[in-house]
Amino acid sequence: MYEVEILTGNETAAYAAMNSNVRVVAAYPITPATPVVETISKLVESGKMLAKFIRVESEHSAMAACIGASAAGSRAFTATSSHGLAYMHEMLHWATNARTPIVMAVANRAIGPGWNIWADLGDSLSQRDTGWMQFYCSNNQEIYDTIAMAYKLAENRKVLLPAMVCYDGFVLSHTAMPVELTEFGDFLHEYEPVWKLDAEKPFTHGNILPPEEFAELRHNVQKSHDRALKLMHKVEEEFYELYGRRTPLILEEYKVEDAEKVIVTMGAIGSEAKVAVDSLREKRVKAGLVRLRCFRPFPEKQLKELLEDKKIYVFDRAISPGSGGPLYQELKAALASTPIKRITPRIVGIGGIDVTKRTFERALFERKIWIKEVIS
Amino acid sequence: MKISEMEREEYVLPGNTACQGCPSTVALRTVLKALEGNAVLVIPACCTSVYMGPFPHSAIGVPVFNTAFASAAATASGIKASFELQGKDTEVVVWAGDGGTYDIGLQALSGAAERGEDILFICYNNEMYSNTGIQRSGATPYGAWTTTTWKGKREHKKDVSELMLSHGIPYVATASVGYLRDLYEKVKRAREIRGFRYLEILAPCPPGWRFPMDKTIRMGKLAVESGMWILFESINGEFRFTGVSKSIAEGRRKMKSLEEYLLSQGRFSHLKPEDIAEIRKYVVKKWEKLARLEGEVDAAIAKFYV
Amino acid sequence: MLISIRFHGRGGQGAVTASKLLAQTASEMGYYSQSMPFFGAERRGAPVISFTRISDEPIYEMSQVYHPNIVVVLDPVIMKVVDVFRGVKEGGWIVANTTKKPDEFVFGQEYLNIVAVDATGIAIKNDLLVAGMPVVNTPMLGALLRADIPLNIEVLEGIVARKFGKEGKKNVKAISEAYEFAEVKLIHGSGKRRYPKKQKIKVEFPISTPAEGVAGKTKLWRDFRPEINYDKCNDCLNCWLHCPESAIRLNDRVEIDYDYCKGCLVCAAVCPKKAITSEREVFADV
Repeated sequence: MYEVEILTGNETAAYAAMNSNVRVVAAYPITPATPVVETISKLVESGKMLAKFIRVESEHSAMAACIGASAAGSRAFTATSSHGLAYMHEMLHWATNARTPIVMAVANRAIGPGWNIWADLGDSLSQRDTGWMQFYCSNNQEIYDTIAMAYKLAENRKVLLPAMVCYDGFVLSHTAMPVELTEFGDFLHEYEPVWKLDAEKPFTHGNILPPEEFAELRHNVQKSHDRALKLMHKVEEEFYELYGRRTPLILEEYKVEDAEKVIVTMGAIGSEAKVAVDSLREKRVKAGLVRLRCFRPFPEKQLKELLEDKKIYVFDRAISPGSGGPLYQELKAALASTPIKRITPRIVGIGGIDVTKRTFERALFERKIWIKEVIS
Repeated sequence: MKISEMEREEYVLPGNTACQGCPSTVALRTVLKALEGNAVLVIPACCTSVYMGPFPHSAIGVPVFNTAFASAAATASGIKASFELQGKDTEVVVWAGDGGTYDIGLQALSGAAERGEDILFICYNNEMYSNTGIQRSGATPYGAWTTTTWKGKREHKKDVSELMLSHGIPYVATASVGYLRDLYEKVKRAREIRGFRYLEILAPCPPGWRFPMDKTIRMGKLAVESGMWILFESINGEFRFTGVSKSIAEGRRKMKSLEEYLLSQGRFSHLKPEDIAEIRKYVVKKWEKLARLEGEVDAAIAKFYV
Repeated sequence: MLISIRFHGRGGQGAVTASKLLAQTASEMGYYSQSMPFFGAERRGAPVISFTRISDEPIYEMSQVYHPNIVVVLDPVIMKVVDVFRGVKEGGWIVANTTKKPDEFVFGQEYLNIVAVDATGIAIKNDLLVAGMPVVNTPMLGALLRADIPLNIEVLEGIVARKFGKEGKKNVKAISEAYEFAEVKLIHGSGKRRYPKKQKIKVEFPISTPAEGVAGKTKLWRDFRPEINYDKCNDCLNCWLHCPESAIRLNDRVEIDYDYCKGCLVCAAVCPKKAITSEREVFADV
């Protein structure tokens, strides 16, 4: 058994990076992810974490430094949120095509103006086309485990993609709960890259790529996502065998089998939704829950199998203005070829509006798409 | 150093896609010889990203990591951190144009300099964005024609080498493709120093500056001889003029006329006497500023212009 | 009616301008037209292509031209590195800047019409020079009008006169001379078109290996050929030090690598003994 500590989501992310044997961290503070940076700094300075911590001057540089470190052969980590993530955008694309398996913690927060520091998944969901794998968590142990599992997947020879591990700002980032501080030495060995920058081997990385070759590279990125999805069960199993914890990577289902109405959501509100399902069941509503863990790659097949004959309520804590909730869009597309009775969008928790079990209960029976108040 | 004693190995390979008479290739060639190939280059968007040629081959014989425009110094910081962990003493060299240094790359450059990253940042400065086809940059001098200043730029350039001096880093120097041996020696000296080092090379670009392609080297000399470009080196805060600029500063050599330099380039061919007077004022001020840094040298150099 | 034209030139020769001028000519004559340059990663001197489409109906094609009716070759050297005949329709037209006769052209189509004109000569004769280099794009347009294309030379000349300011007159004269002196002939080809299969390249990582000649044999960019006079050479190595192309090799003495030398003549400019001279490059085997 490992030590169990009461940790916030941010502290958890920092400890996960340490125990995943991260060797280079480059990060810039931003609310609500700042404590990740502070904790890592403390761990590095006290000698507990054997890593170099580059205190960069911006998020753009944070990601650039991570890409450099990863290309030179080191396991790299960073953490950010909101505007910081948006500022990184260019380098997120770079990390993908460069095939540098960086893992990043994202404390989800709204993007201004006006300034809003509270939970909203719009920051990471608007990065969905950057080619990063995206995992969403709903408790701190999950943050901890997912970071290690994300490295395991990202560094797999058949994947080599970067990954974001996302958790709602403040709701998880600043909420403390018990976390078992597993050391991942058996699960994650030192990073062994397929290629790395080395003065002895003069190759050029990232020069001009003509159209057909570029398409080839992009196709490989897509195929890597497909392979990552296929590898997830294996990674879950290996993790379970070593540490005795089942941490699903693709999705978690709750009382779906006999359900008529299924809530589909992700992040911290996916945890609250479980309570809502129980409460609805008490009221004889056959409710169920699919909490999506992995938004990229998008597990189309798995969702189709689970949801084919259900009445679906998609709860998005984000909005793609001009279209709708990102999860709603994707799910609708995924289920387009199946006879769906109904798929209903709900927009909740925008800009940090607290989402309660009653939010779900009410949303199932009201016609409003937007819920812009706390239902307490 | 004699030319015959210089490294013979070529690290910029022939048959690349650079323009004829390119100042960047010849400067990079000299830099990599001075480093004897023990270097990893970090290259943000610039002409070099193009002239190294397309996948699956590259015209550069040392490892190269291409990175996004704004992030060269930061990418290099990450690579260096990894190398230090692995106990490698490979020199991590940023090779950036003036866009990737003066403008879009400035924030990352300043950050890395302030953190004292152990990297060598080299700016090859052709005083414009030539990769996108000759647009004004923060390094474009007053009066110069570019495709975004059709009537000539109305502002003076900023000076990043001075900015780097004020960062208090252990090595700041300027060089010119007109004096490749000087460049070679400066790279060698920079290599001996640890910490953040900044070297800026004036790179006269024939298509951008509008002069015949065989005059690249000549133009690099003329810039220095006319006082427009000043060669100096600052090691651990000890500032000194070098080469021809030193002779000028010590009054041993008269500057060539600014007109000779300016009017041999198409980009300045439209200048009126008052424009040249404005440039002269800027140059005099710059000499005075740097002369004060050296301390011992009288600001008498300004006499040539006043 | 849809006429597709492909221009082959080298960076800086004005292939793109020529393709635009042609589109403008067509437009002023009431046709629909389109001029589409293709930008690779090349710099000055490298092979470039550009396309023009002319039609009496609106043009919806936005892709490149793969099966042109007419090909215009601005530079004789291009034929050494690029298959300018590729995809040209049977009975189509090749308009070439060349000193050769139409009969000397060899190609895989059954029949092609060859328009041969010494545009370089015409440019030099009319003092159409920029930085010492002959400008051939306008005379080549003159020659192009000899092909099966419903455009009027007066309209083209009007546009050139209007757009080129004080250079207009010389350009107009070159256009009409090229039109007049171009030699036109229907030529029989081998009828055996063979296109090499493109090898599929694996791109798992965007990683390249160092090599000479990433832009091919760049000697073809050379307009001037430097020659070392070894009697005058004092082995100071300045040419080697200053060569922007790394095309001067150090063996027993300095040697110019004529496969890659782009002919910038920096070596001649820096030689303290004036031991490097230059002359116009002529590629005998083109």
